Amino acid sequence: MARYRIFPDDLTSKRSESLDTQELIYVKYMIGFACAKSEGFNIVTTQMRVLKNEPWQIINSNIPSSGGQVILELGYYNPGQKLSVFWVLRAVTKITSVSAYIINDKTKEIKKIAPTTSSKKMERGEDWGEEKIDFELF
Amino acid sequence: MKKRLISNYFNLLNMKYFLTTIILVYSLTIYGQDKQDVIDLSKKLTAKFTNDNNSSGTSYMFDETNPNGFDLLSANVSFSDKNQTQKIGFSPIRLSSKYIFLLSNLRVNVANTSGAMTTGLSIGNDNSAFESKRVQKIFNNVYSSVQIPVARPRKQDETLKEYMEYYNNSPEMKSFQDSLLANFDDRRLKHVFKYSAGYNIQFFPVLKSESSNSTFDSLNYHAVKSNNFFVKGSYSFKNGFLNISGAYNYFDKRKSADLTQEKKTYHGFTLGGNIRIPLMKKENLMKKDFYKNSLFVPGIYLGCIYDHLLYNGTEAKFAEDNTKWKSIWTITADFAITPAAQFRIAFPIQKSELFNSTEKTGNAIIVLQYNFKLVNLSDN
Repeated sequence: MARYRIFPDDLTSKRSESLDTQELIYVKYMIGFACAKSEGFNIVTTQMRVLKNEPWQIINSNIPSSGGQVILELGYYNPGQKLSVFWVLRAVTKITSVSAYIINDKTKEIKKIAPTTSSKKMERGEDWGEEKIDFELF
Repeated sequence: MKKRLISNYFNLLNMKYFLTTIILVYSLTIYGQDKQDVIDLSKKLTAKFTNDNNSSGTSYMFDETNPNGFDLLSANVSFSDKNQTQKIGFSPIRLSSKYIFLLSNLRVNVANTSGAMTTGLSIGNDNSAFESKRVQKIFNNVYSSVQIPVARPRKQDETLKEYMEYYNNSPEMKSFQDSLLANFDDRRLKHVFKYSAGYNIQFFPVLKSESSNSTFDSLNYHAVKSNNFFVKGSYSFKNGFLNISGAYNYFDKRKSADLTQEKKTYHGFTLGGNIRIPLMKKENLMKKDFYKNSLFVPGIYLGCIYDHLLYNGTEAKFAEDNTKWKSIWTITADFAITPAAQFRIAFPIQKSELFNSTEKTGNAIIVLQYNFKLVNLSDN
């Protein structure tokens, strides 16, 4: 389910007067997980939050990969917005390399957010969970 | 002068120890690296193990020429009254995570029976391989037809570890994941077909004997005993509950190595089957780590193999064992206790028809066979 957070933070503090004349700039973002086409995994859950003390919101749960990938919609945000996400990915087959990406739907730009070092290898049935990944939308 | 010589001697001695230490440390480091590399490489392998019991051999008479299964590495030793056979099979391309149709199951076969060497190459296919189109289709079908339960949001102060504890212990989630994997494996391994084809060359124990005298050692004149082409196939039902296999072997073979012998054609046929008596209930088996990793089912396989070898010539002097034909019924009991090590007790009963005789002869022996294999280092 798409989420919207398209009013810039500095304007929302002054409430609606400033928003009346403001042209909004927002973009749809997605989070994607990809491995080799012949390998498979299941996204146990992917959750996100915008503010540090907010409760986590489910982006989606138990999504099986198709052709080695799962793409989920994060929602509509201002470029520069900071987000936190976490996920648990379960390998259904042995996985030689899997990564997570953020995708800008307008520019089609893609950024890898995990793993930060080498590629992630997984045994069948193994879970890959990230406690929290903070990043800024681009 | 004497003192200087002694000093030099000790310097040389120290240098010798120093160099020895360096070589030893280097060798051990290299050995350690190699070992780690092998483990790392093997970890990349997908567990393609299926319990079709091919690893213990599907033929008694043609065991030297027919490869056993598609495991990464298997070593097979069998003992009987006359022969002792050692056999090693290696599928080197299985070290790569990439799957190439036919080539991924390229197998190198080396066997030794009473000093005579057999070596060969074969290629084959296994329709339960993860990368096959059939398995990909099953994978997509299984995953597109399930009702997926929804996980709850993580609490604000909940760590990922605590969240996963909830998740893993949640009955709905657990049964969902388990049933999904079980459904996938059940469908993948319900009907498994494997086939392979290859070429072997068999040598006599003495490969070469030379002398300036041309008649020297005419008994060991020939080095090559036979050339062999084979095709074999197998069908396995429900992850090895029932297994049927068959093979055809073409031989261009010499009876012995002496100068007067000529190669003659032989046709070999094999048909076999076995059934598994499980040693564990399926509900308990599915909880075991070795099953989750390799889908190995411990059991006792009871089976029977029929081998037939037909000499295609008319002259008795070129016929092996002086026989027109021979056939062997082999009753087998395989004890598959762990994925890595299995053993077989076999009772071959042989019948044959000799040249220059109207009588058919028969005899029965006992064979003990051990089989060790490396399917995936991380699983065994």
